[in-house]
Amino acid sequence: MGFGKYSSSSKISALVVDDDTIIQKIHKALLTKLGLEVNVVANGKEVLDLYRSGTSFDLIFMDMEMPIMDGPEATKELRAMGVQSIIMGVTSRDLDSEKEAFIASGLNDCYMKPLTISKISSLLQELMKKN
Amino acid sequence: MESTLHQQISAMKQSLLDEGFVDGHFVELELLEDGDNLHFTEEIITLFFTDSARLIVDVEKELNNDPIDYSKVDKILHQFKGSSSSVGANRVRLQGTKLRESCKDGDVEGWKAALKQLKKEHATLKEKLDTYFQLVKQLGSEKKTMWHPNEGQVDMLAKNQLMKMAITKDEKVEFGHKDMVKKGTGKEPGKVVTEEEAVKVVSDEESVQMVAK
Repeated sequence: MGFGKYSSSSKISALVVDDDTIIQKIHKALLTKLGLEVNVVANGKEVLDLYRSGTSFDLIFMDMEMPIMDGPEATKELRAMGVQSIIMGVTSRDLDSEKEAFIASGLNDCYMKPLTISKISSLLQELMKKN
Repeated sequence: MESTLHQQISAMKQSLLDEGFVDGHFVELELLEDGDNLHFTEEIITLFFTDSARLIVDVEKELNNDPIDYSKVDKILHQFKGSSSSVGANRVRLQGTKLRESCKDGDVEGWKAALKQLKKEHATLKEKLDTYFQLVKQLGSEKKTMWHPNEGQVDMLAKNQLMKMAITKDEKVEFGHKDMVKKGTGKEPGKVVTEEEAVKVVSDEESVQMVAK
């Protein structure tokens, strides 16, 4: 774990993509507390800009609805670029159809907001098993 | 032995949970506090109240337009739902949902009543949490911790004394270089627990237990 260029250490690198300042802070604090190295951007275009500049992350937590470029569009673009990072969708939308459409854009999975210690701990456990 | 102030804070938090003012997401915010971020919860809640007050003003403004753009109202209330859910503002979130449903139904009398109630819930929660954080600040000046083995509970700890751990309910999670949680074997009541000795165990039951290594 922790092979993302963003991470300067052996820590897992994570990117929080959300236009909501409160969510940015909560998710950053949560992921940092669980030992990840975390960066934050406010929309899908900023993620693409980072990857095009050569930066990459082990984990991306992608909000669904954002201005400029939303989660589904950014995810499709990243996958089209050949990005292999784990991309977890994060949404407060209830409808299964909306979540399924988001997942279909190229996500590894989708969570309801907000992320919790329990959800991320389970995710990290799964990742460690695979590695 | 628990201080009176700590008991007061615990009782108040339990009451906020029992009465549905806040839910587990609020408790989880407090679990994210540590030495670098001792007032994280208060910071987030303050942001929430600033943000949500603005959203309520925006939604009222839209609802006073003629004709009403209900899609715009829905967008604002969706955002409101997201942020109130994230901070565990349970009753405020539920009332926001009621308002949203009334608007979707085009029920004018319904949304007028729901909006009024939303403002009331919002103000009530703010008042309660302002009181809560005042008490927490008072307690925060206390650096020592007391561990009472009989109760299995601990007085409020200065967050910077806790090791960073995360476990799922009834399971112990090991990831990275973090050590497994060990149950404490007990100490004399009143013994001060130092940073080196302290391990914080967090469960989904929202109870915080301090155990000794």
